[in-house]
Amino acid sequence: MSQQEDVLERLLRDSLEENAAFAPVADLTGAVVRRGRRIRTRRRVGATILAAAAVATGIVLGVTLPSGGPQGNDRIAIQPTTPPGPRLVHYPGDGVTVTGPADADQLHGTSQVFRAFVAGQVPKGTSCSSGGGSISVQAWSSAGFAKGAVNDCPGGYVAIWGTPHGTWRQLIGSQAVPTCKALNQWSVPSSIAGGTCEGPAGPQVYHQQ
Amino acid sequence: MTTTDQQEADQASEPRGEGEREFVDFVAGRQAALLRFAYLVTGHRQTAEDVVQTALVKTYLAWGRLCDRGALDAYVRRAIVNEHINLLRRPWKRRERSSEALSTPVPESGPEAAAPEDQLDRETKTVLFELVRELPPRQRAAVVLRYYEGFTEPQTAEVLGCSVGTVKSQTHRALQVLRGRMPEDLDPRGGRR
Repeated sequence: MSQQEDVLERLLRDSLEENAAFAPVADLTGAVVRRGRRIRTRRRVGATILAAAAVATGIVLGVTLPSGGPQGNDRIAIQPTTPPGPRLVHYPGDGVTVTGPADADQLHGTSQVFRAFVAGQVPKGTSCSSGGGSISVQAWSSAGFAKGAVNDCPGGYVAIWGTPHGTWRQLIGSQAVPTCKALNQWSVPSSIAGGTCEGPAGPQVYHQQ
Repeated sequence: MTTTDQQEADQASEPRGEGEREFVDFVAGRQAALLRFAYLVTGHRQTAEDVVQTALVKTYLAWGRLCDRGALDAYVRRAIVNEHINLLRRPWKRRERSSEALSTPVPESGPEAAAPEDQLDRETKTVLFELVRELPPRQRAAVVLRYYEGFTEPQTAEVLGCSVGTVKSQTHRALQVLRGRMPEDLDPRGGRR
């Protein structure tokens, strides 16, 4: 560094020191704390309003929600549950039929992950004259269970899907009433599986929360 | 993060009771130094108060998360620099022109006037400060931290949230600009010197 540069830097240092040599008159402490508290209160009120709005929206959705899907004017009944209980979505009739990702978007009230899973489960390369297979989703629970029908060609079966290890997979696939043993093994709630299962001695009442 | 999680995080990070007293002590002890720093960075007293206040409010809201109390000063200074840059980005601020009078008036020549050498230094320093005020905000902050606060390059880099190399280049460019813009008769390299 040359001597000239040293002179400039010395003058710069002196200049800054001289210009900053003033006694600030304002005491910011009170203003800062007041403003901080105001923002904190606003944030909390905002968060409370958001939470209340979210609960209200959930209740409204729980009453009726137009499907707009392949079922035309059918309405989906979503049973309102009191948090933190799981949310349950039942599709009327045969359920919402999904043949691809576009149809999966009609599964109103379900999670995006589940919609993607269903779209990926649609049977491909079937011998149907009308094209590929389809999946009809009849019920879904935020607890991680769903029920529907896999319409393959030829044939098809009733499927119960679940997330035993965090990701969706088919737990049970059967053309008959599912066995009580299988339902109990996966702890499938009766709200999804229905109230009947096939026991060793024939059909029996099934109940699982 | 859900609304509830965010709310809980906010509640956990803001000062309460003992924490608020600690924050108030910090502000009371440091605000003068922070205001001087902000004045040099912004070039305006009122703007300095505004940015310091905003930076301190951000610190208040984040108080619980700032575990390293030794790094508080650097945190607030960084907030001041960032707030000033944000302020300059606002459209109404970009159109605004500075009209603040020089804070250190140059004394008139007279019987009690300083010696010519001192007078020249005083003029040079006044002009230098005006030139510093015209530097881009990050260069200005680097110059203030290096030459007023006496921070090392790594310390300056920590406050500005950039690399040591960036600090070096910002400071170098700032000095180059200052040398280039100095009036010839006040230039420490020559002229009347």
